[in-house]
Amino acid sequence: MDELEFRRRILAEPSTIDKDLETFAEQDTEKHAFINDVRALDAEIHSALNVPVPENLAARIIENTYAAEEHRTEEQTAEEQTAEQPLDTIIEAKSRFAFKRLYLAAAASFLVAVSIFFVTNKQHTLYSVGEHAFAHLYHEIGSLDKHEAIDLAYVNKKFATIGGHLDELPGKVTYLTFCDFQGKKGLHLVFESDFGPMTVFIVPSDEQPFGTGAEDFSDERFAGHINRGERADTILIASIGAPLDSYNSMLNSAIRWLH
Amino acid sequence: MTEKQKRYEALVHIYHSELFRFAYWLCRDQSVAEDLVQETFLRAWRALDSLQDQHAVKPWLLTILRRENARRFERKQFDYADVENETLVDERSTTLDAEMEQTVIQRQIGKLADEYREPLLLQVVMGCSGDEIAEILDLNKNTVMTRLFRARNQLKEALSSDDDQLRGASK
Repeated sequence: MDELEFRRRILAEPSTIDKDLETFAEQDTEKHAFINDVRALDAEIHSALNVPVPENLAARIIENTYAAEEHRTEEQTAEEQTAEQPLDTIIEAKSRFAFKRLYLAAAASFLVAVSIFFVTNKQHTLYSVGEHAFAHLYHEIGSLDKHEAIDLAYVNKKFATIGGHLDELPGKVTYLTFCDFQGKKGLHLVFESDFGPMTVFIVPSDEQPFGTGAEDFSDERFAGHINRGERADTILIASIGAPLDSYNSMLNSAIRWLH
Repeated sequence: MTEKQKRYEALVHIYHSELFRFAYWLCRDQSVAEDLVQETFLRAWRALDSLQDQHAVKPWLLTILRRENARRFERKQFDYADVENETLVDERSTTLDAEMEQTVIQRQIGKLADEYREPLLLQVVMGCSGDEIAEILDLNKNTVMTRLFRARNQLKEALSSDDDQLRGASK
């Protein structure tokens, strides 16, 4: 074995240093130092590659697999049934479908009529801020259970698309998504505070305001406040008992508009 | 619960973490990695009856996962730009120094060419032997050993030049 072979073997497999290598390195402090260096490097590589695994991944994999399998079996059964049907029942099924189609058409036109009624009435049905905000929050209540930090630079990349920038928040951002707020695209984020997760909606305020009525609102679980800004309405919602005012002013001073 | 389910669930519990990490380092994207692992185990479930040799489980799963990853490039690329290149930092690292060090080394691992990175991942993350890596990657063992050597050698050099720069900057 020569020096090069020695180094190649250690670097290729630092965890399996055999007798040959040990004998070669014996009495040679430099070679021993090399072995130790590579082992230290390997420990670093190990820990760097050891990225955190998402919570409950195994349970989710198993659940999704069984769900997908069930879905596939159902589809297969349906297909088999269709294939097995004799010709006359297929004809009958078709005529039954034609009958159903009439109902379907009637139902569809009724649905269109109802939708038109609601769409044309939309401008007149303004919700209160609290109703609107809580409906949205409860719809995505799982957003409060996230703990993994989202990089502020990434938050700002998203926020910039509606012209805003966040300097910093009093805690790490753990949830971030664009949402539809009655037809307007706004940012929905959650950050961790000393008083639990807090929700922020930032909704551009052109055209239509975010709900009407009182700026402060609450229910038995959460309290919120809306800041009506020139560029956007900013809503902050926290658990009851949290110092909403001070977090609200921190939030407002963190938001800047780019243009 | 059927025998097949028991066998399957044991498999998921044993291998999901390693496979997730391997997938993460292949695609550098947490949600894509999750999808890859999910798809791998779904295919594994469907083909479980064909798996006879218990010792071959790991190479078998890895082969499925690598194929799934390759299919990702064949399909129209989805817009994953939003989360691309996010670097996951292990939150268990307590000191800032350790965290910074880890980010530096993660970046360097990310810079390795695929042909060097993949054998290294198989060895370090999956605990595969040289022979197993050769089988999974369809290479001969000497080539695998050379690539492992080059991968670590490049990391070693890159990290020591980073250290030199840091020392230079602090002077």
